[in-house]
Amino acid sequence: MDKMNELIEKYFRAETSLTEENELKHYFLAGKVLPEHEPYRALFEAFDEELHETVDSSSKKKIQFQHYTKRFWIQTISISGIAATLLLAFWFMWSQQNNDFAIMRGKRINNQEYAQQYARAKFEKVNEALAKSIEPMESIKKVREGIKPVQKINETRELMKEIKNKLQY
Amino acid sequence: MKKVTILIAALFMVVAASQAQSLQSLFEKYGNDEHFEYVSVGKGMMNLGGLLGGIAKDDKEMMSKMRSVKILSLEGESNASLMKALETDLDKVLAKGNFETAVEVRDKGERVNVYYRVSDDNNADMLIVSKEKNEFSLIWISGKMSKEEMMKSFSDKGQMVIGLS
Repeated sequence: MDKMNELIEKYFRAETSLTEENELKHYFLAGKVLPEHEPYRALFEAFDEELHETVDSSSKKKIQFQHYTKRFWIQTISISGIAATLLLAFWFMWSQQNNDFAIMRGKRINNQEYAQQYARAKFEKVNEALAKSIEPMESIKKVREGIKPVQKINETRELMKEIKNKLQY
Repeated sequence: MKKVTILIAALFMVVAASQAQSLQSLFEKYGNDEHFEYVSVGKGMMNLGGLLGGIAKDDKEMMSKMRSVKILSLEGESNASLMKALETDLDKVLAKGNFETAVEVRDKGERVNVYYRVSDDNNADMLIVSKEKNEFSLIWISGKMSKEEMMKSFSDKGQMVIGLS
């Protein structure tokens, strides 16, 4: 009986092995339990009952329903997410396509190529005007570069004058 | 203090939105008029420009920063009053929208003005106003670029990068 006392103590210290726990269970279920061990009997019987407990049909249905609800929500959220992504992608593609259009005298033309060609033609026209305005400035630049040697002649003359003056003194 | 900051930020956003709206509303107002020609080109044009090749790397980068191009055009001598009305509205938008003049060209009855504005967060708008005897065109380029980048969109030959595509 000392062994049983020791096992019970070990059990409550959570130090028993599975074999020792089985030994304890058999002891309490065998019906020959010592009076000093009677308070623990209910505990070990409860463990055994738990082991053999079966789920009744209503609980099973409840669990199944919970599973179904959970699955339903997961599926709904997933499908909604995919649908939203597709919708967003289509909307993005549609808005990109609809960025290129022309309205000619109140009539909308959804022709990307036409819109781009029109824009290009306008830009070329503006570029022409801008380039024309730069031409005179380019000419001035060329004239400036052209007269650089003439400016050097003047500088040389000034230098010669200075040298002459210095020689006279 | 936090509330005041949020309020100021919200106010800035409203002001910025109203500035953009005024130019947008001008294009929408006249774009739907049957006397006008209105063309809107999105980022696609810039991509197409890149595909065509023959464009310098810097220019491609510049084009990728442009978001959209909108063109509003009015032709014909009979539309003089409409042209005048558009000019008046445009002047208001330019004054209200804090636009600065980048280029002004006058040549034999032809006039080209280029205006720009760049917000603190590099939202840039460039407006090209071209006026001839019988034609009035507005070209609005919007994109995400700094003031320096905006200025760079004009090459040293005076031609705009976007026109090269």
